Amino acid sequence: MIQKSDVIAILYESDNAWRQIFLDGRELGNDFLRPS
Amino acid sequence: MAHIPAHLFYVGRRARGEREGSRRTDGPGPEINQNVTTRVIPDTTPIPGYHATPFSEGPYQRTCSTKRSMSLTAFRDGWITIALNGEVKNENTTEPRKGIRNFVFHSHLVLICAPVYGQWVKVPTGRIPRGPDGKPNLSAPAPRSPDGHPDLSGVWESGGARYILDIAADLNPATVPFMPWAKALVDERADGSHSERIPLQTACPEASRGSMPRPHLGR
Repeated sequence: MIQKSDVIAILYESDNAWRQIFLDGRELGNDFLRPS
Repeated sequence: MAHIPAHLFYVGRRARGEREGSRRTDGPGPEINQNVTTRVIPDTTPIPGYHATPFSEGPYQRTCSTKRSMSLTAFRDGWITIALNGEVKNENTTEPRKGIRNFVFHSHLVLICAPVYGQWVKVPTGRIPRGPDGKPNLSAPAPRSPDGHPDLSGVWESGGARYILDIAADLNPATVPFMPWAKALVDERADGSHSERIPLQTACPEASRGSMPRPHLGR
């Protein structure tokens, strides 16, 4: 898990998956209900 | 003589067509033309009068050849055959100690190859709060980043499949901060009416949306 002031990135060992959690206060996207 | 390897060759009177046993070691043999290629035949039979004392140099065979008058062959089983006035090809002869040298050479190649690890066996994470015994103190306050937020960076380990099935397993259901649509979906599936589908899609809000569930991490 990598944490910066504006984002947290989670790198999973399985399947080379990853997630981004933005901390800069941006608005949620229109596809929030069905994230990838 | 117990055994003579078939790949040893003796060329002498047989190659010249003389009758076996007609010559003894007394007296010189007939001259042969060195310019004529002598036919090499395998000889696995000891010839009377052509064997000397046992040869005990080692578990290999050696063939020494002189062009004109004499060949000396030491067989593996410890006998010496002297062929007068013949030629012995050096084909199929084994160089002394060649096998041993090869073994020692390749053994050194193996021994000088030290194993290395492609990854760290123990990841040196130095910011983990530890107790006096050196073990991680899992009840210690979470480390903080310079701006005061909890510092979540580092390597985390999955806590198992518990939170894959139910992300709110340890929370009071009344206090879980569901979004309205997620709360309605969980309530709809709480009675098991969708149990014929994939089990992961019965109660887990994350999986019910069709996304790939990931293990929730614990330190």
